[in-house]
Amino acid sequence: MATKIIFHPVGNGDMTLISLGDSAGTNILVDCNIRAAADDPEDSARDVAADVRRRLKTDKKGRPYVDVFLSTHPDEDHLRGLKKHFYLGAPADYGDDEKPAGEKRIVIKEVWSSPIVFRRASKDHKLCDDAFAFNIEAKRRVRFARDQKFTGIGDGDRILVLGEDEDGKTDDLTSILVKVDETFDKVNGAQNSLFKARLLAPLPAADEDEADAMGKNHSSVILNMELADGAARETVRNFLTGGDAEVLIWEKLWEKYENEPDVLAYDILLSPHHCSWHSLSYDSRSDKGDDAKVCEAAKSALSQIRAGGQIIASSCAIKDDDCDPPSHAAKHEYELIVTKGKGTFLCVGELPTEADPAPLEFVIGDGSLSRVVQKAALPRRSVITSGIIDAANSNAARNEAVRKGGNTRYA
Amino acid sequence: METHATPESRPSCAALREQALLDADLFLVNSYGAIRLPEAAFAAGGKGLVRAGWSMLIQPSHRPWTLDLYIDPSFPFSRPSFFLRDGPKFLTWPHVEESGKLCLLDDVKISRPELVADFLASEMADAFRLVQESESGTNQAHFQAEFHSYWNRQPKLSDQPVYSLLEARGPSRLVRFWRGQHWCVAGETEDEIARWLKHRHGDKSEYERSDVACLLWLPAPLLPAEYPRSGSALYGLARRTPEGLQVLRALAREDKAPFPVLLVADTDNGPCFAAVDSFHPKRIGLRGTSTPKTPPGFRPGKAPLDLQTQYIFSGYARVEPRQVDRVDAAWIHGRGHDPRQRDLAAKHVIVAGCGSVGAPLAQQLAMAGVGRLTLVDPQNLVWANIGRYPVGSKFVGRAKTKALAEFLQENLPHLRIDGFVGTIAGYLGSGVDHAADLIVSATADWSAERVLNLDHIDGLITCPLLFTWTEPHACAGHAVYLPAAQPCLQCGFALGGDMRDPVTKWPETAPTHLSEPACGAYFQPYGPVELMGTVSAAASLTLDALLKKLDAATHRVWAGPRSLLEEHGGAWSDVWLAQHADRNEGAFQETINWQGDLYCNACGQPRQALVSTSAGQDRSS
Repeated sequence: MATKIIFHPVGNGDMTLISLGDSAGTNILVDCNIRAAADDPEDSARDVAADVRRRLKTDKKGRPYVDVFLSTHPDEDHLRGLKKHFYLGAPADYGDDEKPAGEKRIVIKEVWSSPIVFRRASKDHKLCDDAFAFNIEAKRRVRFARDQKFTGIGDGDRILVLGEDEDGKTDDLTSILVKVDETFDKVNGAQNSLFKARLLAPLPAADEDEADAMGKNHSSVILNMELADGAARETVRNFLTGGDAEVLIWEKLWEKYENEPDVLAYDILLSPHHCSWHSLSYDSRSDKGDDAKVCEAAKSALSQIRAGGQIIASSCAIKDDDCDPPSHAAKHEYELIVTKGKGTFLCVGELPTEADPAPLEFVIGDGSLSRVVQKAALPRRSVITSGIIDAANSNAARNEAVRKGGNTRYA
Repeated sequence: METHATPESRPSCAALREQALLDADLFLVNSYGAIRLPEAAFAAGGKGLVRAGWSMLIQPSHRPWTLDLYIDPSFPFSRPSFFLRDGPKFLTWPHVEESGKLCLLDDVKISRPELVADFLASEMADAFRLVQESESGTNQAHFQAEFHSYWNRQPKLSDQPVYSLLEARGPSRLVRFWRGQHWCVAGETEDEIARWLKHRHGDKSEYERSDVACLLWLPAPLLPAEYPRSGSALYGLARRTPEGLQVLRALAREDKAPFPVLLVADTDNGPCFAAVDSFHPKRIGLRGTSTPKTPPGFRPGKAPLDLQTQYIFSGYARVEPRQVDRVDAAWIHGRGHDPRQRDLAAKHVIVAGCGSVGAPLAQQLAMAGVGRLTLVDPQNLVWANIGRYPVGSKFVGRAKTKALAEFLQENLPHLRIDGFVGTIAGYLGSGVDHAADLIVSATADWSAERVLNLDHIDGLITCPLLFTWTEPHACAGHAVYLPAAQPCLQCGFALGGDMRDPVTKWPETAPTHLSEPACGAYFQPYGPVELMGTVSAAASLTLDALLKKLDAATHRVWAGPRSLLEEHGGAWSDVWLAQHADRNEGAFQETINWQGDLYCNACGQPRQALVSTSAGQDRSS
């Protein structure tokens, strides 16, 4: 089994599934944005929940699960659909066992969250329903961990807090806390040789003014993950993901790592904030138009692409208009970056077509990071003709998945 | 080039199955627009154990069909199954069961179960092709090639089968039919049926009478649309065959309903059989339903035979189909494809000595299809025998030959197997007609075998002889075929009955036989597994002899594994070792000529007076 990164078409939102190629098939889901349209079978929007469910395993009790759910930050377009599709609560209280497989809520074995969960709600820190529910669940798990004195915590109760809370609320969380600049390789409580990640953000505010300037987006978790194809780690590629982190954070990161650019090096970057201009510039394009300038430091932080690297915009189709996100101007900047690295810029909302986007899948292995080019999925209940049969079967004959012919052994 | 996963990198079967379900869903949904079926959709029976199911629309030509695909818990180590949910009526298309299940060819081996997409794509292609060929009608001939699969599944098939001893050949003819409560038997003659029934179920007088039946030898197997559903259809079939009407008329003359008709035809793979019962025509009149046996306007027995036949086999006559199970020798031994059967069925073999070698040997010969066996042995079966004997505890206390004959006869009722309680000398001198194609001696009784040998030389026994025995602990075994007076058995033995050149040797310290506790009897402590080599050598040599493959006296030797030999304290004999130094490990069979001795005191020079020596202690059977 190969290590894969799958970006799901969720419009202007994020929903990235990392499937490790270990024998357990470990799954790490980064954010989710399951819109009502996607849940509506009458709507043509891609049923991304079904896409994800198809890739998930079930535990001994038949419950679908992800090993990790990472919430980069509590914006609605990063947590939408969480309450509906994921189970939040003590494992013993899971009540979906009698439901059909497709209706069982997905168990989250371990939550990874920024410490923003400890911040009080305020007019500047409003939470949507899903974010609120996530907040409650994260706090439950932290409380549980404290009660258990951080030992013997099982699936469905684990949490890893990524980054320290500025008000000291994470001071005692040593074994479930990852500090900025730390590297960790445990997934769901167990070391995983296919995974290693360096926590780059959330960065602490320098002062109160800066703290005020930082909103939820600035509390985004930024991870540079090192993903391997197998236990032998013959192919290792870096995936840099930063939620909705905006220009200030990237500028600070560049200030910090300008002399160690490798810390920010990547083979695949999920462009922050859905290819928003505001991750690259302090200038407003609506105010300054084409005179708006990129923050070179921020751009440098986002430019550490390796040869053949990819930059992905998890957004709607990018048009040359006033929308932001996604921003056409930001796309141009990213295209300049990939050109330098002889890589590719791809927008999830445009592939294979804008009308019918499909999950964008990458595979790590055989010395490379390669994109899995899916033929456009047939719509449901398409009529299958001989052309479709022959096309699907053309590989089978080559790979000899089956052999035809009589037996050579009898009893 | 095949790549091999190492144990460390290869996922477990459970992990593969988990992943396979995910991969299958992804592939079927994306590549075929499949819809995942809820569990309720496959909870209904007829689909076996189902783990997941999908529904798709396929359109090989002009209209779509709903095709469901199911996988069971073993997938991807098992094939998916396909069901056509809205296919045509059963028996319209070949390879489609009543439930709509598609019967794809089972010549598929899953070589890369982890390539789920490719595996499913290949299976889908096969299913699609089947529906395509069925729609176009190009595979209708499969109904004929696999006639039994369809005839035996038609609705309203009687639950009482017909067991057929009939010869699978034309022309159409009258045969015999015995009708029982739960099944029937069809045969060429009344005696044949009676014999079979008595062999199987005991000597009952009710087995002696049977009725006339008609066998129609058809030009080709029937298509489902041609299956007779009334007497008139049978009449139509009879018209298509030479002499068919003639035999049908003879059947009609019997005036004993129901009228059994056997329908037989040849296919590329061998003949196919079916049967129907045709009932008297039912007329619905003003006074209700009746089944007159004579056409209207005629007094009973006065209608012309042609008219009577057409009346009996008319559209008003109900017909009930029956399944036919062949129980004839050619079918039992080789399903009609063993070219040896015709010869073996005509052979008679006398097996003298039904001990631990003779009894399994007799069983092998019976199962191989030797038509007649006469078993000769004076002993009774005891408990200590049944650990290496074909029959078991039910027969303890009875004469070995009677028990074995009864057991084999019941199991293979088409053969003739008799048991004689006594020695071979007693049997040959009993006045019973002992003409046989071969006498096999498995007594290892030197005295008795010496007499057999001498009688053979003197022409008192005219058929060939075959002697078989084991060496101690069954570490080696022998079968010697002697078609003529010379060379003879004595040529290979010393006067006292010791083999001149045995395969094994035994020091004084290694006992070659044991005595039963508190009893004077001696026995060989080998079991059935050790005996298999000797029995196999003897059985194969017997068949070769019966089938005339041997021109000269032949010796077939079984050398058991060296490990067994050493375990019991023995060793290869010097002569054997010198000839087989490169096969020291043993466990092989060898066929050589049986060497004659010019100075043999039995066949090589005038016979001398016999000197009594200790007999038979180094050969056992």
